[in-house]
This record gives sequence, C-alpha cells and structure tokens, in this order.
Amino acid sequence: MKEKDIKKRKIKPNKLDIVELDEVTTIEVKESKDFLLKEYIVGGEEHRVELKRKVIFQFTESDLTSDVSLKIAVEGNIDLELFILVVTPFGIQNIESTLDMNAILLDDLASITFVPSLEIEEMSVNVDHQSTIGTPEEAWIEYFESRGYTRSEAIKFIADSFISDIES
Amino acid sequence: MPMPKAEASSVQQQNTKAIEFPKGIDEDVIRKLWKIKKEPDWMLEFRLESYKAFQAKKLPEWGPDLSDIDFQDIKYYATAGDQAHDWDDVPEEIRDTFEQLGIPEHEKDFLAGVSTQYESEVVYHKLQDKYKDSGLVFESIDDGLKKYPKIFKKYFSTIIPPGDNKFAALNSAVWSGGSFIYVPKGVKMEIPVETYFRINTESMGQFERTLIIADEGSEVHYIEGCTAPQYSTNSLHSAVVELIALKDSHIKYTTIQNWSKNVYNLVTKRGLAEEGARIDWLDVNIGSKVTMKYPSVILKGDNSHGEVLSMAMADSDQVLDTGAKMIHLGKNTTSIIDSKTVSVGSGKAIYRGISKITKNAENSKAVVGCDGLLVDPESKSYAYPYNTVSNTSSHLEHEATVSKVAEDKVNYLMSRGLEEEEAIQLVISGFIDPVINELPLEYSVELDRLLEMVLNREGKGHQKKKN
Repeated sequence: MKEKDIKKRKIKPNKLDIVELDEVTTIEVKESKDFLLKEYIVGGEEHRVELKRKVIFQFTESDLTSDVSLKIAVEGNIDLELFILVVTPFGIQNIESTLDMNAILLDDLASITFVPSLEIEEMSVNVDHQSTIGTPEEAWIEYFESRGYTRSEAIKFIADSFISDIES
Repeated sequence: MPMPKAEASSVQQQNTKAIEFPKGIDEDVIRKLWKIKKEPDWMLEFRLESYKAFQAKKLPEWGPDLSDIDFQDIKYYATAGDQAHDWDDVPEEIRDTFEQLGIPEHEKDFLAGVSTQYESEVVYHKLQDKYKDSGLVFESIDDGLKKYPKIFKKYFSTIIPPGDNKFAALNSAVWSGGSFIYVPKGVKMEIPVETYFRINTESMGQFERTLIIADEGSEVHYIEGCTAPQYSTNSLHSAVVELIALKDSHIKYTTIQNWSKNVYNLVTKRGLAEEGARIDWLDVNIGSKVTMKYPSVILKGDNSHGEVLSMAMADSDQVLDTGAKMIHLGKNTTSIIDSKTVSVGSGKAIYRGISKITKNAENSKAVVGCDGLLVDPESKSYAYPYNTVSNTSSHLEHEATVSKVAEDKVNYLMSRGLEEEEAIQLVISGFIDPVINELPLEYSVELDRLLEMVLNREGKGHQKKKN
C-alpha cells in the first residue's frame, strides 16, 4: 500500500504555526513562536504501512521561548514512527523550550513510536520534553455509547476532541 | 529446576605462569586461548564461529566515533598466574592494587563473596562458607564452565548470542574471566557478592563474561567495579552480561565503572525476566574514553518487572553514550527507566533508550525519565529515547529535562556560607541523589568522593562567567 492511500483527517488550524508532517522537515526557529503538529492518521485496511516522519526544530537565534505540541491519533494497519528533534547549537543561548508529544491508539492494529530527541550544546538552555502514548478511556467510550453512539463513533469523537483540545 | 551439582569437585590448578599474548587477533589466538583454558570442544567451535561473526559485522553506524579502535593493536589475553582463595596467596603487586581499592575490607565487612579479576583471569575468589551451605554457586566463569557444564551450556549465550552486535561477537570469541552465579530455589541473599575488574597492562583488552541464574523465588544482588591506570594508548573493555531471572526471582546488578580515559568501554548487558520476576540494573558510569552501554530487560513472563537506574558523568574528552532498553512481551508487565546524565567541561553525555510495548503485552505500563545537567559552557547533552506502544490496553509515559545548574540554588547555598564550588557540588549531588540512595553506603560515599574529584579537577566546578 502506498503512502498516498493513507487517509489524513485534517483539523482546522488556529493562530499557532501548524507544521505539516513530511518525511523530513527542518524548521529554523528564529523568533519566539509555538508550534503545533496534529494528525489523525488512518492506516490501511488490508495492507500494513510503515510511516516515518522526522521534524527538526533548530534554534538559530538566542533568547527565545518556544513550545512544540504534538497530538496524534492513529488507527488501522500502520506502524508510525515520529522523530522530533530539538537542537540548540553551541552559541545559541537562553532558550526555553518544551516539547509535548501525545498520542492515542484507536485500535490494536496500529503501532506508534515516539522519539522526542534533544541535542543541547549550550548550558544556558532549559528544555523539557514529555510524551505519553495511550488509548481512549474505556469509561468515556461507554459514556458515549450510553448516549447512542456506536463504539466506532465514540472512539472517533474522543480522538477528534483529543486533537482539538490543543487549540483551545 | 533441580539444583546443579558440581561435576568436578575442584578444578585442578594449572600452575599457570604469567602469560601475555602479543597484540593482534586471529584464529590462532583463539585456539591458543582455548588450549590454555582447557575448555571442552564445543567452546572452541563457539569461539571460532563468534570470531567469524565479529569479522562479518560492521561497527555501529550510530553513536560515538569508534574508528580509532585498532583491533590488531590490542592484547587479547594476559594472566599473572593461578587463582587464589586466600589473599595471602595473591601475588604481592596485585594484592597491593586491590588493597588500595579496599577490596579485602569490603569482603570482610559487607560481602557474601568476592571475585577479583586482573587482566584476563580471576586472581582471587572466595565465597563465605555459610553461603556455600545454602547451595549458592559463585564461581569464576571459567570454573563454572568446568564444574557445572550442563547448566552452563543450557544458559550460556542464550540471552546475548554472538550475532547480537560486533562487540558481543568479539567477546564471544575471546572471553576470559567473569562470574558464574546460580542461586537455588527460594534462597534469598541478604548481602551482595562483588567482582572487581582491573586492567593493568597497556593496550590490553578485557573481555569478561558474566552469567547469573536466579532460580524460582530466589534473590541476589551482584556488584561490580572496575578501574585501570591511564596510558597513552587505547585499551578495550568489551564485556557481556547475561541475567536469567526465573519465576518470581529478583536479580539486582550494580555497576560502578571508573575506567581511565584511554579505555573504550563497549558492553552488552541483558536480562530475561520470567513470570513474576524482577531485574534491576543500577548503572553508574564515571570513567572511560567512550562508553556505549544500554542495560536491558526482556520482560518475557507475565507480571514481570524491570528497572534501570542509570547515571553518567561525562568529563572533558569523554563520550558516555548510555541508557536502557525495556522490551515488554508478557502481559501486565511494568518497567521504569530513570537516567541522570551530567556533562562537565567538554564532556558529552548521551541518553539512548528503547521502551517497547509489543502487541501481546496487554495491560502493560512503562515510565521513562531522562534528565541532563550541564555544568560548563562547553558541556553537551543529547537524548534519543525511542518509545513504542502497539496495543490499546497499555500506557507509556516519558519525561525529560536538560538544564544547567540553577543559579538561584547556588546563590541560596552560598548565602548559607558554602563556597561556590561546594554549592555546585551539592546541587549536582542532589540531582543524582536517586542513584546514590540505591548504592550500598560505602559505595555512595566513594561516589561522592569521585564526584568531588571530577568537579574540582582544574576548577571545573566553577560556572564560568561569560563575557
């Protein structure tokens, strides 16, 4: 199955910089700015797909703050690997940055690998990163089922909310 | 598993004179080594096949630069003589070396057993009598092969086969020295056993192999330490450690590595946890020129648990690429990785890890933390954590920070009367406190002392003011 067959449900962007997930994306951070990556990725129904994406955030100016937030919902026959790298080279000082990666798996066919990486070569830098990989809470699914949704609809509703939550 | 009985009540001393191989490796070196050790035929076949695997495999294309290693410029075997069971029988110059490290005192006061390895062979080995009665087997690995061949062959190289990586293949071809431990069912060792490794010869390679089997319901704590003098040429330490924790058993493995800065320390360590078992790695890395080490646990059995608590302090001209791997195969498995790295001077500290929850590892949980502390403007910190989840009933959490020594904390401590260097050292001690707390008291005191030495060397404890 080719990558073009993978369906992506795009969520409406807000005032943040939205980053598209290409095979390799390098973003030079020249000013204080937050970044948002959000994807709802549905893999193949019959054939398994491997999807690897790499995003590099390279700070090129000093005295910046930047938060990178990522929310991914994944379902279907797919092995997704997401490599996010934050780089502060030597000489780029006083950087404050947070990398927050969160993913939910919507079925047992999907698999996700997060690689929240850091390359810090300057001591006047504070970088945090955190990531979670989980699944929709069963209690939430049951709640929506009690309101007349099917299980599949409930899961998709929760996934949309999970991603949209970042915009509010 | 029935308790293994020694199939040779004692190993005949070989009256080995001091031997030192010339530099270089080929099949003849391996045959000569096998002959000196008087090993069974299957071990020669194993060694030669491993050598082929070593030749076929390339150096890793990731991680620190290893291109300076000249495998033909290393001595692959040296021994000072036969193994002793009494300190007085150890050759004087070797005894002095270990007495300066405090090994005999540790044995008397803290340990159930001690093994000391000098170059390629164990020179001293003793297990307290009361632990022999429990059925505990603690032998040098060469003796383990001869005395317990069935159990040895059953488990040897099952967790780390020669084809695992180039350095595991090299170790499999030329291994010498190390420990063999079997803990019988239900036996819980209240105090640890220890092995200490020393490389003394220039351009030496040390390739010890450790195999620990904890039978059902048993517990053991094993500690290893290592040092070497500083030479201008490189030395190579490439060890393999295999841990097998059978049902409901617990193995804790502590390493305090303080090799000199000419040593390439490239080690493969892996444990297999069966149902309900637990494996803890406590890994402290201060020395070496380059270290690549990722203690791992394969959580094969349901309800098994793995932990890695790791600390690396990279001083100038050091690259410490350390981390951990947790592979969840069984259901309801849990793992914790907590890594602390400190970069001093131009040191480069790298965290590299894998936490993988596979499709069948339902209802599993993994927690990963990797924190880095930068002490100087030249310091560098890198982190590459790979986190994978492949089922919907499991959960993985990861968090990390990289920062410098906080000025407000230093200022507060200085306002309480500490000098700046003392304040910085105290902040760093607090940062690595979760690791120090897990060490036996005498080792945590020693680690604090080493920390002070590293930080005060050439005034690196200062936070240099920038213009």
